[in-house]
Amino acid sequence: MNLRSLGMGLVAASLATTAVAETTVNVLSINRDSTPWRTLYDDVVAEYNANNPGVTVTVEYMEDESFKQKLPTLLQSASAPDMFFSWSGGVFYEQAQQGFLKHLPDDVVSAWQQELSPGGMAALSYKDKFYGAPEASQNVAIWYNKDHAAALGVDPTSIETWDDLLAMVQVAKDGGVTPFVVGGQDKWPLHFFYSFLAMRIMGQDGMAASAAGENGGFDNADWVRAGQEYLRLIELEPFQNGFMGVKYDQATGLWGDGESLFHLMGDWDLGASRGAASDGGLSNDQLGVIPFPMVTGGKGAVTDTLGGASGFVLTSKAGPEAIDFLKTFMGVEAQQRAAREGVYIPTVPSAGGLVEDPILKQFAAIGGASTYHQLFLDQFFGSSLGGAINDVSAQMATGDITAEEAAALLEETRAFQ
Amino acid sequence: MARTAHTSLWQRWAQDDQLRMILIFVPPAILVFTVFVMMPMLQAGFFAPWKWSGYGPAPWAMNETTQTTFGRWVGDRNFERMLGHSAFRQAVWNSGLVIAVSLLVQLPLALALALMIYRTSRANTVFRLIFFLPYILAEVATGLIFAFALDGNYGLSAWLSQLVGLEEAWFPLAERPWAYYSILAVLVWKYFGFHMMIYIAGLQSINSELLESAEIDGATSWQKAWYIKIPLIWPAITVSIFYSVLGALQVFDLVMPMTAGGPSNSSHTLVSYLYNFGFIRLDVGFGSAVGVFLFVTGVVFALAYRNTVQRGQ
Repeated sequence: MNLRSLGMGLVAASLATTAVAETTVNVLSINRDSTPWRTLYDDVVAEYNANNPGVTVTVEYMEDESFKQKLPTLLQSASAPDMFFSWSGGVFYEQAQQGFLKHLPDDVVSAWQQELSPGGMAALSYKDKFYGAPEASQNVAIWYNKDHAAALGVDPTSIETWDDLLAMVQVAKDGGVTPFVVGGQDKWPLHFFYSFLAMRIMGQDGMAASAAGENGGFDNADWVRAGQEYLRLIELEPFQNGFMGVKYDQATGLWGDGESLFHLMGDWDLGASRGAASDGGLSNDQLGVIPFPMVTGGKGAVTDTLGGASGFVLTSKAGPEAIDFLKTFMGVEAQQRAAREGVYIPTVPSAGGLVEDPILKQFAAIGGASTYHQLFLDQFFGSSLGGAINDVSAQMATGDITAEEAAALLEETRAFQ
Repeated sequence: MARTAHTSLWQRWAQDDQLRMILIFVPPAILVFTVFVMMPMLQAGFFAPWKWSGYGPAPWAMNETTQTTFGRWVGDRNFERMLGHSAFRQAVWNSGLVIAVSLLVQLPLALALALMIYRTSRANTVFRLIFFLPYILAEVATGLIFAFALDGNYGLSAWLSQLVGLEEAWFPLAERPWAYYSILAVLVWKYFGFHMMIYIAGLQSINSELLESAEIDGATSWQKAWYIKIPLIWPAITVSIFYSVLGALQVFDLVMPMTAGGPSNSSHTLVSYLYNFGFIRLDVGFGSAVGVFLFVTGVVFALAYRNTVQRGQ
């Protein structure tokens, strides 16, 4: 071989390398155990890979708790993914603030706000910068068991105020039916009651003021009243026997077995309770859904919603290919398919109407009519203050602290942040 | 003998060829000890005065994106907050309860059983095996088993409640203070066998001539136990007390599956408190402060115990 051909060979080799240079986009997701969800991801990824030669997308799945534990170190390492699943809220704010995330260019933001959900985009924004694309929307409402309601002679759809609900709880107690099942050991199922009461009482402005530490932060009359209303419910002993020793999974199994009249839980409970129940759970005909009622004199609205806003966010190492894939991954087409197949309730407005499952449809309607969507308080306020909200919700349920003490404890935790 | 008195330790090592052994075996041990024991302890000490979520290499490291440090200096406020936290005081009290129950229930029980079955016989071997079995079970598995057994819906508790005619099933793990009492009961059940084995080993090494002469002098079996056996196995007892107190400070694996610290943070031990409020809530500085407290407690106890009870052993 002479020198010239060697040079040619080198040139050819380097050209070849450029031609097959592959950009990989690594996605880290939480486990998508339900087959339709996993299949949806697989199909979207396969199609994207086929249509975009030169880009390879790989998705890695991790169990929720290990995902949470591993992420802080993973984000700082060389093997950080290009994008990962986020529940938004305090943990997401921390990641954005510490500079581990990449914000979207302005033109991309305005285009996505047109097509995807502006509200969902806002949940994944921090200080006016947008970091990702929203996926499913989750809402919490009161489920009721139609069989029990008929037997007790009550109509839960007539409930308008908190007092109406408490009256119906009493009817159930008198009729020998457990009013609510709850997984008290996990604490967060209890915090839904306290959160909703606070939202109904103080409204969006009051909640924002508390978060900002204005008007006494959490130690004010509104939070105390939220606690007092919650304690009115607790005094009726509305929960199943031994509720503080039961986790959500077991509690929702009890609900699926028809153990109670009501269940305060999110839309995801439909699949969860059927999976956990001993014989397939309650059928669509047995299930009803009503929004959490108004509290008389409150500044909120019955259409204010509490729930999740999850999606995928970009890490600081994400390139333009990652942004392009995210657009497809969380895009209109994928979300419409999710809606049609009942995989999840999409955030994209044009997909919301496609939900066919009669129960999920009601949740989609609640989400669609939302006048103010509040992220789960234990996520919105971050791990520390959010954890404290869960703590006081449980402590009030066991009668260990008063409404005033709960408010003071929350303010103390907030002030320390 | 005179020679050894005058030669230094160093010379002796060199002569006995022990130096090579020391050079081969000691550095790896020191390395492992430094990396996995000393470093984390020192780190906890350095992290404790910071409010830090765990992002970034260290709370004092500069974050290039934000031009501030990853953590925020809060001085002694983590300690202040910890000492003022009702759940922390409950955790300290609970850890104290473990020590009390170990010393007053578990060790006397283990000693009594050891005195009954320390002699070698087939029946005694069977009993020893039975009493020792709980110790072999993994702690998390034990916790899960008892979480089921004490569940009022389908566990032993449901059956018992029915048997005694309770109208509503009893859920000990959902009620304070029963949740923590249940954990204490399981701890006693799980570890008495271990202490019993320590005592049996001690009892078996007692010279039988001593006991025979006591018998000839007309000592009752109570007198033999009190005046001969227990004093002779006192070193074994002090070791078992030492283990049981340090073990009490480390209780964690049983608490998580049984109650996860609930209801309302009433059944946390120091370690489960640290895990819950430091790790789960991403408050590494606060968790480090709890770790420092735990470390100091352990060291103070160990030093005090070594210099008093175990002095001269």
